[in-house]
Order: sequence, then structure tokens, then C-alpha cells
Amino acid sequence: MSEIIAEKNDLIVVENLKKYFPIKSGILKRTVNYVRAVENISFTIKEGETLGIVGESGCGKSTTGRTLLRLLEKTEGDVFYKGRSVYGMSKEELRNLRTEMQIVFQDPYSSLNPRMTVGEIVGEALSEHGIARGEKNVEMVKDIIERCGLAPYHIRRYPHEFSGGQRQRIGIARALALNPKFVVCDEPVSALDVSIQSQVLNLLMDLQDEMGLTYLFISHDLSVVKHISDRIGVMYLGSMVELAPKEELYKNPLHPYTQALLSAIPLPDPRNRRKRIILKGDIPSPANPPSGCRFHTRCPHVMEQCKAEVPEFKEAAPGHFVACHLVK
Amino acid sequence: MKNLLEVKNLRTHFYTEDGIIPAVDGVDFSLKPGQTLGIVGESGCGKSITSMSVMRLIPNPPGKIVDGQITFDDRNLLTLSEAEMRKIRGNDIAMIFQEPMTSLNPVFTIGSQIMEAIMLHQKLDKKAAREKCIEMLNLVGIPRAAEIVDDYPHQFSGGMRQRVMIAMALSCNPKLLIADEPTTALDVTIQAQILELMKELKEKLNTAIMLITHDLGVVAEMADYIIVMYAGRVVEEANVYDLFEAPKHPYTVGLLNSKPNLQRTADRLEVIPGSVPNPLAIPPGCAFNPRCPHVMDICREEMPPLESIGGERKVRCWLHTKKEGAK
Repeated sequence: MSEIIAEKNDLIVVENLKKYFPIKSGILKRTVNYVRAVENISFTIKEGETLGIVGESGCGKSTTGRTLLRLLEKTEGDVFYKGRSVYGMSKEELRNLRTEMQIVFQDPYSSLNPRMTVGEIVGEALSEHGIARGEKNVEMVKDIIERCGLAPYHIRRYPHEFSGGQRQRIGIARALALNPKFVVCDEPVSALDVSIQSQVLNLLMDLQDEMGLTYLFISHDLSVVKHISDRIGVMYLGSMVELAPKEELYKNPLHPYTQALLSAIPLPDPRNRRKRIILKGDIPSPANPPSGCRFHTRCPHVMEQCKAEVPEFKEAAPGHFVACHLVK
Repeated sequence: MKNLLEVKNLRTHFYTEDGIIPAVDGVDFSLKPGQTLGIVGESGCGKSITSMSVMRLIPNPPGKIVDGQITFDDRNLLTLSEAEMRKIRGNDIAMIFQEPMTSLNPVFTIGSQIMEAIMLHQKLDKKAAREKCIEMLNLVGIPRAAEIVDDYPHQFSGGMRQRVMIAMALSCNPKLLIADEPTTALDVTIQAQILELMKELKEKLNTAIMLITHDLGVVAEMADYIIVMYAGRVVEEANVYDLFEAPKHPYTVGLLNSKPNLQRTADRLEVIPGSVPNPLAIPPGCAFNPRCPHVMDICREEMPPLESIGGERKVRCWLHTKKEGAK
């Protein structure tokens, strides 16, 4: 199906992953249709690297992250962590896996329980997994929140006493408390102001170096993704349309959607007001996606073939994958 | 050319249980017809309150414009009666908001919402107002305008709703359009569409725009002139080229450097340490002093004035202003 071949140092391998959400209607709540949130995507993440996923709202980037961690059940396909299928694991095995795979959420305001202190929020997983209780738990929590840029005395405080940037640090500390290998960062800086964004991005990069973390970094902001990632995948309406090392992707975007997305970003350079590629229309509904290539309704280079055939996701140059009929 | 809008020493304070919040504390700026002014700053810097003050939409209580002058077209808006102000709102000054999802009334068709303003301000009858409304929808690039004029807001996507908002705002040919984060809630490709549309319409109708945003990319793209706000005050103003080429205030420098840039690669982002001060406890002296890499003793004691440093540029910083009588 896809040309992506798993290699030895791949920590995560995603194979033809699909996630459909049923749309229920009527008194009997029968399934009338599906939201095709993720449609057949495949990629790998190497140990120690950061794979960025960009796309606009509704493209399935967050669903991909959650299905990968099995926080949502897949519809089809499979995900392998260190060669073992995440979906083939028993409940107990999955529970143990949770210590190695973690997630940082977008909204630092709603993802922390307002009735728990920082110490409880960060330390919960440690006692839950039987790693540390009592005094030792407190020690470990203090250590991790200090590494995340907070002070040890913060452990007795509640989330509402912190600013957005500090709350995001608490969210990061919670994810890292178990010393995981792999972290999904789901829009971790989107809710923050620019000056705070850069602090959190630097923190994530420092922690990656210190703790040898592997990230899946999900964002709609191309400049943020470019900064933090090694390779970047671009998603559109549930499909991955392009995947390449970051420099390659920004220098030589092959898919018309990637080209449009890159040209749409306003640059902080008034002497360089460029002629943009302006896409016509809106993103179609994932409940009723277009036939063939899902981008064909907005593509400036659409051909007859695009309306009928789904383009294959294939390697156009070494490490540079694209799904487009234009690329031979 | 004469100024269309002149704001002088605007102070808008909020009286809360915890104390007085000086959301806007002595802001000056002016805007010429057809010009685009960008107001940039992070959350809580007072940029939205400044625009709400110009529209006189500050909820009282708790808010109050305690001082200043807002001169629009030779009239001081702050001395007008509520009835006179209503004639200006939506007619001479129109506004578009950040949230296209919540700023349209869900129980009325978009046609009736646009027509309301046209009938009120331009004294047109229903039929003529409907025609004008369809004309406006066409102008902002909404397809099948004559059919969708009777649709409800929920039938539109975010980008389309923002187009409807722009159609509504421009329907009475305002001299000034206040756009408060008009594209923040939109996806990048839709943002590009809306920015392009705003530029086109500005050329066509010669409307002055006050563009409020936290996105430096958006102001670089749209604005002629920029003011940067921090903790309720203007810290720097300059034309768009000067500001991006040679920012003077350490806060502006920090903002520009902390944004990841597509055009250059850096291993680490430069960081402005700390966070925006609590509005109830703004530090004495220069409000930016606890975060400033160049802080000096005087910065902790005395607020620097916003002073001209040649040309159209002004900056509020002791690094660029010599204190009179100081050695």
C-alpha cells in the first residue's frame, strides 16, 4: 500500500491508520454516516527525532495523535511502538505502556484539574503506577517541576494561581513525570502569547536533549513546526499529503496544498509582501469528502485524473513523500 | 493631510473589587484617511480596550474612560451624547471582531442583520436595503449572494462569516474600520483570503483601518504605521518599514526575535524572560523593566516619556531618551 518501510531505529511505525467517527441520527441513534477524520495514513518516527504534523482545523492532526496513543480506538490499520502493536496489547500491557507514551494538551486552562494542587497533578501518575509514594513522590515532583522551570514551593498551589505559560509548564511536567520515551505535543503553544511561546518551545527542546525524548509535535503554525521539527508531515482533510525533512519541505514543497499553505503565512517582513497563492473556497466537510484527491476542489492545478483517482503516497526524492498526481 | 482620528492621552480604567486596573493609561496616536494603523501587543496590553474606547463601547461599570480626547472628523467623541454616538457607530466608524462565530446573531438571517444597519443609517427602504446588502455580499466575494442572503449564520463557515461581518461593517461606507484580531480565529489559507479581501476593499473604498492584532506577520503585511503597546501604554511607534528593520524598544526587539521565523533558522529562540505584569501591580518606572535585558537604575524609578527620535519614530525608553539634567 505505502512505500514507507520500517527501519531499525523507528520508535513509532504507523501503518494505514484510519479513524472514522460515526454520525448518529434518529431516535434509534443509528449510524447514518462517518466523519472520516483520518484516512489511511502511514509514517514512522525515529528514536530521538521530532516529527511535526501541520494542517488546518479538521485535517485530523489531533485525531492522529490520540489514535496513535490509543486514547481513541482505531478504525483500521495499526500502530507499532518499538515493534509491538499498540492495538495488540492487553489492558495490563497498555497500562505499562502509558509510562512510556505521554501527551501534552493544547489548552492549559482546561487540561488541569482545578481542585488538585500542582503536586497532586504531577505526582498522581507516579503513585498510580507504583513508582513513588509519600516523601519520594514529593521529591520526584519537585525535581521535575524544577526542570520545567517552576519553583519547588509551587507544588502546594492550585492551577488558577498560575499564568497560561506556567500552566503549560505544569502540563509538561505531568507528561514527563513518568520519564516517558515518546510524547505527543498537541498544539502546546497555540494558546500562549508570542513571548511565552518561545519560552515553552525552548523548554521542550531542552528537555528533549536532556531526557532523550521523541516528539510528535502537532500544530497549525508552520513557523513553530519548522523551528522544532526534524521532519514534517502536512495533512489535509484526513490524509497526509506530503512528508519530508523540514529544510527540504520548505525549500522544495511538491504538493500544491503545501505550496499554498507556505505562501499563505504572513511574514514579519514588510518589504517582502509576496504574491500569494490564494486557495479558493473552504475546506470540505470530512463527513462527505471529495472523490479522488481530497484537495482537488481547491487545487489550482486540478486535472481530470485527480477527481477520480486517489493519488498514491510515494517517495518522490529520498525521504520526501508526496501524494499528488502532478508528481511523477 | 488632516488626521481622521486623533487620540490624545486616553485613559480607560476598570474599577474592580481588587483595585483599579489601568487597562489603557495615556495612549496617543493619530490616523489619516485611507491609512492602516496596526496596534500590536500581547494579551492584556490594552489594545482591544483602546479600540473599544474609540467606539465608546466600554461597559460602565466597571470600566470608565477617565481622561483623554478622541477627535474623529473634528468632533470629540467623548463629549457626544449616546444618541449622537449611535449615529457614528456602524456608519462612520465600523468594527469587525475576532470571533465570527459569536458576533452574528444566530436567530436572524444574515440578510436581515446587514439590512438593519443600512436601513437605520442610510434611510433606505427594505427593498433598496436588500439590494445594497446583496451588492455588499458580492463585493466581499460571497458566491450566490442573492440566494444565501436569507440563510442563517450557522450555515456559513468561519471564513464566510468573517466575510459577512466585513460586508456588514462596510455597508455604510465607513471612514474608519476597526478590525480587532479579524483573522485570529481563522485557518492560514482562509486568513490569506480575508487579508487579501481587506487590502482590495481598502484600495477601492479608501477606508482607514485600525488593525488590532498580536500577529507581527499580519501587521507587516497590512499596516502602514504601527504602534506597539505594553501594559496599557504605547512603547514604540514607527512606520512599518522602520519598525521591522530597526526596532528600538527592547520589548519590540524581544517580540520580533522570539517568533520562530520561516526565513532563518536558529537553534534556540530568543526569549523575553518572565511574563506580562499583573495589571493590579504594574511595576514602578518603566513597566517593562523586570523583563528588560538592558535595565538601568532609572528604569526602576521613573517612567520614560514617549519621545520622538527623529522622523515619525517615537519610543518610550531611557536607552533612547536622555533625562533632562542628567549627566
